[in-house]
Amino acid sequence: MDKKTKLTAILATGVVIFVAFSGCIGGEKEEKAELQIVHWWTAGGEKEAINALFSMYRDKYPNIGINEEPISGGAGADMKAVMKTQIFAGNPPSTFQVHIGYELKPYYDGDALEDITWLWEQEGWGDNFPADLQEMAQFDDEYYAVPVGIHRGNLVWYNMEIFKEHNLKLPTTFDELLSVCESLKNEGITPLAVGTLNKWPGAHLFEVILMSVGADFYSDFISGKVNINDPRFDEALNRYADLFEYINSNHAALTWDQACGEVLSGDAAMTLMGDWAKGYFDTRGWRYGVNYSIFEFPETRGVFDVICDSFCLPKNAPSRDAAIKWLQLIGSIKGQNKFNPIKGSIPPRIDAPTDEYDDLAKATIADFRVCTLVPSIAHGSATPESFVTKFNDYMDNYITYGDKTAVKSGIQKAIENELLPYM
Amino acid sequence: MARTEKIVPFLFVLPSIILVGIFVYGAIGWNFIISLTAWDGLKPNYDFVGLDNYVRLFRDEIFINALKNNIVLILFLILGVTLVGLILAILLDQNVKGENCFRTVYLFPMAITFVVTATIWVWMYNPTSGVFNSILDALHLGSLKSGWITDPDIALYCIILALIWQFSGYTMVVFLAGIRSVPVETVEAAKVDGAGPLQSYSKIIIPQLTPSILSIFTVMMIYALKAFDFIWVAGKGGPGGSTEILAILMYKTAFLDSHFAYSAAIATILFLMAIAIVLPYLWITRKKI
Repeated sequence: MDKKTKLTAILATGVVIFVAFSGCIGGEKEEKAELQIVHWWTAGGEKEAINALFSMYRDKYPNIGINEEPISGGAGADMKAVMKTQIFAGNPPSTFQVHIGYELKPYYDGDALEDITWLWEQEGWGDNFPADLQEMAQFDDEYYAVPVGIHRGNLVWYNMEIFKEHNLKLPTTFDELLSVCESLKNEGITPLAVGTLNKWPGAHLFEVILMSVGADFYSDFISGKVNINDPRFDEALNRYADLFEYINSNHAALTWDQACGEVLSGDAAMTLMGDWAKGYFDTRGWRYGVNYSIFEFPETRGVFDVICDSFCLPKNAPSRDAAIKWLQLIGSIKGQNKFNPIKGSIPPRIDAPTDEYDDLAKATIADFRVCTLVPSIAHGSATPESFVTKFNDYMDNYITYGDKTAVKSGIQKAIENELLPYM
Repeated sequence: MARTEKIVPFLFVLPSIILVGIFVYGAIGWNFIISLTAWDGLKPNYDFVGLDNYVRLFRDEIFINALKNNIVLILFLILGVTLVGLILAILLDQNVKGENCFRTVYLFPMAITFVVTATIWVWMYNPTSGVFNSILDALHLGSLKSGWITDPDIALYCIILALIWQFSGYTMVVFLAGIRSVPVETVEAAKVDGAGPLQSYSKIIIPQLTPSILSIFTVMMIYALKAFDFIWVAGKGGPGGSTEILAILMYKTAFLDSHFAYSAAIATILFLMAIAIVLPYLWITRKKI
């Protein structure tokens, strides 16, 4: 064999090995159902919660394997990018995590989701979930997701010791909040800690301020019905600007949990955050009602800023049956009451018993069942994603530069270009 | 036999040609085609809209802001890494004891991923608990304390400083190799003619470092164009858009906003900028061969 022939033989062998290993020939795949699931719960508390659901699923369906793909990154920012590329590639997982509402819309518009109205009807969920929440899971009266857990966004978390020491009363109006802030500032304590490094917490704060101006006004705003020169929008911007005086100067260097850390260390007295902040305080040895407590952001009493995690069924999902079984599990009382007490959230089902929940969750559940539910902008439920990005950016601009005219014209443009055309 | 001689080498390179053809050049072409369509959302829409997306881009103040930031990043990053790298290389060229050790120490930051270094720099820049302001406090220089990356006026420069720290080890190695390749005879001859160290470097060695400078320029410019990870971790383009560059804007437009055609137009602009940098380099180096 001469040198050239040898080389050709090596090359040919290499190609054969490459092809064989890539599974193109000769690979016999064992047909075993496997739930392929993508989610973003990787932090303490939430990871344990999803794992508890997985073990429940395994016990119930021992023949179905679980192939989870957790993609970390707050609020799924990074997971969304991965999900879109997988769906483009025609390679969706069996099911994936998504906030209900507008975060589902790109997938719905992209014809990537299966209508699961039949599942809702079969399980009789129509009577078990609040109507407002069901609406968020629907497009054109068809259901596209199953909610598993609820967080509330309009809560202020405060350091009880500081409030006690300075004899401060919990504020119920915005003016009272400002006077509490002023007292704290005079004592050399940062009144309100915010962490805007990842931008959304600044936008989250503003959406709650919008709610404080009026829940109806907020609903109009997310529907694109608000004229930017509406005095109520000015009022919201002014309220935000009033708070600039009292927030931590290092806000742009902190994440939301580091802002909670300022409250924990006593450098700051309060922070506004969703109730996942509870996990942060609890894991650091603080106790609700002893070290920290909460109050609704002033003038948002009776309003519940909903952040709802859910799962959906992609079209052409592999192991579709396994995915449907997963959706049945997370929509059940048992599944929700397994998951939520560990995660620190509350069950979306209104018929779920509350014995397993702690005092804070019990109070939140009680509110959830009577309050007006409004979807969150910053967390993707209330408006299209492209509007959320702009909203986050303009609010970040506002908190950075304080330029009201710029933020108003920016939001106006975002309403025209990113909200109304995609509703 | 002669035919086999031609075919065999071709077969060897064929897999790479196919892969590069599809995944690099094919993707670039596909990206350009998408940028001429109305594709918005997860459902592809190939309606031809001509250069509409490009016209919109240049009327979009967010894009202009990102473009400006990108140009600032390119200019100051290149200036910084070239100067710092050159100075370090010259210092190391003085037959320092333990040169290998220093070389490794200077190069070490390059071995750390940008996500890690960005996180560490964000901690160091923290205005209240960060190491910079703490040191200034300790030195009773409180008046020099700054908001660092939280101050929109200087946030981009703070990021550039961190990147200079990370890259100057690499440029030092390139310069050191360049300095060492200058023939000893010319330097010796200059010494005999009475040239001091300063003159040796400025008149003899540095002028012969053109290939090193050129390759550093190219590598760093391309990095500055596609810089993403460091800036994304260090604040997602904030505060107030002050560190937003084209790659960040492209990612957000595509994967958060789902404006795929518009994002493809940003990608094309980025590609053209990279080409504008690489082509002269290729042309200059080819001429020498």
